[in-house]
Amino acid sequence: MRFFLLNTWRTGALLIVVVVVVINVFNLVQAVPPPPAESPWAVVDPATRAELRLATLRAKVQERGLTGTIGYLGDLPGDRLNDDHQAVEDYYLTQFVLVPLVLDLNPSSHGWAVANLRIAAASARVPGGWKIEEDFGNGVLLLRKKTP
Amino acid sequence: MIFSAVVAVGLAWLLGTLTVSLLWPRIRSVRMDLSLILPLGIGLGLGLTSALYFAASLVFENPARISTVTEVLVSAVLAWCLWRRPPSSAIDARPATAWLPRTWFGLLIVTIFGQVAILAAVATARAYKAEPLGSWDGWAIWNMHARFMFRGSANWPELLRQPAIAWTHADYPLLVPASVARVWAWVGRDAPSASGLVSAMFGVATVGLLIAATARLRSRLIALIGGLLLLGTPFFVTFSSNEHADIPLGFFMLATVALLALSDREPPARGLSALAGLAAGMAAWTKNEGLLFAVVVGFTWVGYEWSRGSRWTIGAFLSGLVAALLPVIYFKISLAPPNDVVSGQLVERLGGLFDGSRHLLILDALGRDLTRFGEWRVAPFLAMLLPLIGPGWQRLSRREWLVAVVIGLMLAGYYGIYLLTPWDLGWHLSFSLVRLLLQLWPAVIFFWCLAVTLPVSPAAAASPVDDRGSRRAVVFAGLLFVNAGLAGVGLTLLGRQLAPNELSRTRIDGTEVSAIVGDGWSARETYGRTTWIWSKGKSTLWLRISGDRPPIARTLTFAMRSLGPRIVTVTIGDRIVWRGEVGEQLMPVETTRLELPPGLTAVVFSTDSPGVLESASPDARALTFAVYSVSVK
Repeated sequence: MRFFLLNTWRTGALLIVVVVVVINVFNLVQAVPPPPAESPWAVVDPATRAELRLATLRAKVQERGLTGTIGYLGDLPGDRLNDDHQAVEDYYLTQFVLVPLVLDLNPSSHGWAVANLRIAAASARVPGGWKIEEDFGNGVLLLRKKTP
Repeated sequence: MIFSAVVAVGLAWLLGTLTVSLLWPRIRSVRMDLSLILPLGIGLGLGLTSALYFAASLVFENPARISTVTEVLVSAVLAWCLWRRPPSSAIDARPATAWLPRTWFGLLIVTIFGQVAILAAVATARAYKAEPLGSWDGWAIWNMHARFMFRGSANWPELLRQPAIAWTHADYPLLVPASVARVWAWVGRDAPSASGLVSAMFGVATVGLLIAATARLRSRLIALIGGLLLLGTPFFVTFSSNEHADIPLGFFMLATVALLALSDREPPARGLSALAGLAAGMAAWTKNEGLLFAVVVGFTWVGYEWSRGSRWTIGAFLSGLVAALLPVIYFKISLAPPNDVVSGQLVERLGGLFDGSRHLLILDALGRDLTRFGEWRVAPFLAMLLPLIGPGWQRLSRREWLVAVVIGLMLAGYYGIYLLTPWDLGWHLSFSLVRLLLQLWPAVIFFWCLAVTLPVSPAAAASPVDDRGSRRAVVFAGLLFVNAGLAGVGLTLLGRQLAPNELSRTRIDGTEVSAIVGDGWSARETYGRTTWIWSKGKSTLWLRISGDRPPIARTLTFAMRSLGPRIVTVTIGDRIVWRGEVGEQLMPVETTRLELPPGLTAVVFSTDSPGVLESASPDARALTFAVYSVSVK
């Protein structure tokens, strides 16, 4: 009798573990929906969105043969970048898209820079001594230092 | 493209499987242990090929060519060595259906496991599709480093360690980035699917290894329940395709402790010890936490074997460990910048060890994250405790207890690192603790499986399945039939699930018609079976018709309501398809004879007056009108 009770307990206990697993898996499937249906306003993840937004810029910097380190301009100056999560994400994503270029938040020591502006106007962020070499729209710019 | 990626991963798997097979104990046919060797081969193969690609990338502009030639040559040599070995005297005499459980309880568990595995695979694929380039650390660290290796020619280490991008942690080990870059090199471009494949393979290997190792040490029943526990951890399932290094690290931790536990059963176990050393070294090649693991497992294992006087086993373990650490040592000494956690004013930070508030903060975070790191609906810990309660404890061997010792020491090590971290402790804990717990989770489940005492003759199986061969075949066919049926039902239901931006999807005469949320709407809301969406003023609904049939007249139906009376106009192109007054009462709308061509058609909703704040809260939305239960007939 004791043997039977012990075995029933062990089997029941393992079944409870399995029931908990099944509950979690059903919850998981509901929590992870299918990918967004394709439409002009489909929500895509930030990295994919950045790839699409900066694709032309990347093609152009490749075409121009830019290598090494160049400058980066975002909505906020480099020393205030950490104040805004979106500004940090924009910078990191621009770097991710433009690898193997290295983007320096301090563009003054470089001859080229890229700008990825969501809010700020180009006139407010492009420093003196720089010119817009190419404007790709939506705040995406390729900048070049003016030769003295 | 995907074919090249599969071939690249397949070659790595082959190399790993041959390596494991060659070091596997020769007390029986390798075929009998394929369930263990194959998952080990995935991880070790990707680890070995990553090291080869890393070495080639430092010297050659086109590292893929030389690393592939090396991989093929090494595989050929290993295969030749295996072929030349005298055959094992052991014969695999098991019938083809020997893995079938002998009890109804076992058949039930097999069926549930099959269904859960399918659902988990769907969830993993969906998680990949939601973030094909990985989530934050996936793209900002692991795929970023892979891109530097793939796009940056031979001077990629120089570029990656630029101070301007110190935030990408160029000191992190390179097993995952090099594996991904290697597969990209095969594909010819940095395809996200290739990195997703590498990532998911580690998830599959972890589940396979957990089940195979537990089945060898205990029974297939508890092995499947262990596998269920891992697949029932939503964070593990969705993270498996998320292109981070935590799942691979968890795999190598599990591989190391499983091989150590297995070596108890397989004397002489020098080959298993060498494999355990390789796995521990590859943990260090995967993440910095793996360096801690290599130290912890190294001291624990060597200490244990030293006490038993097993010098040869220690030598085998250390040989494997040192071989796998070679790329790590070269990378850390020659290429990587200092690690931000352990470099700097470490002596000053030692004061953190005696800071009570830091201890409290860590313990508080641990208490919070332990119950939620798996993203469970119901945390399984209480349920996992139940089989351990009661008389008749499972007797664990001393080597099996070492698994618990290693897990405990790893937790203690993580605790110490948090005490000394130079970063803001709260931030560091909130960003990393759940992932550290996930790394250890497969090893924890493995130890739980070893500790659980199984029913000797399960009560649920008072009448065991008939064991005659013909009956077994019938049971096998029945099991297959039931599983296929359940899988079909499950996949059909999953296929009907709406995407986050869909309001409805129907199939009419072989054509799929979806109503998709466009711009100008608040988030979709659902209660029971009713779905609705509030407009911000002017908003677009997209109707998508699949296929290329000529336009057919359709009827668009929905219901509308507003917080106050207003006129709403619905247009398609220049044509007004409906206009009317909408009030607080839900008002059914039917627009007939809409000629909808295949593809996307914009249905634009507009109103004559601005939105009304839904409440006095500062976050309140300005609501105009809501559209309910959209459908196309």
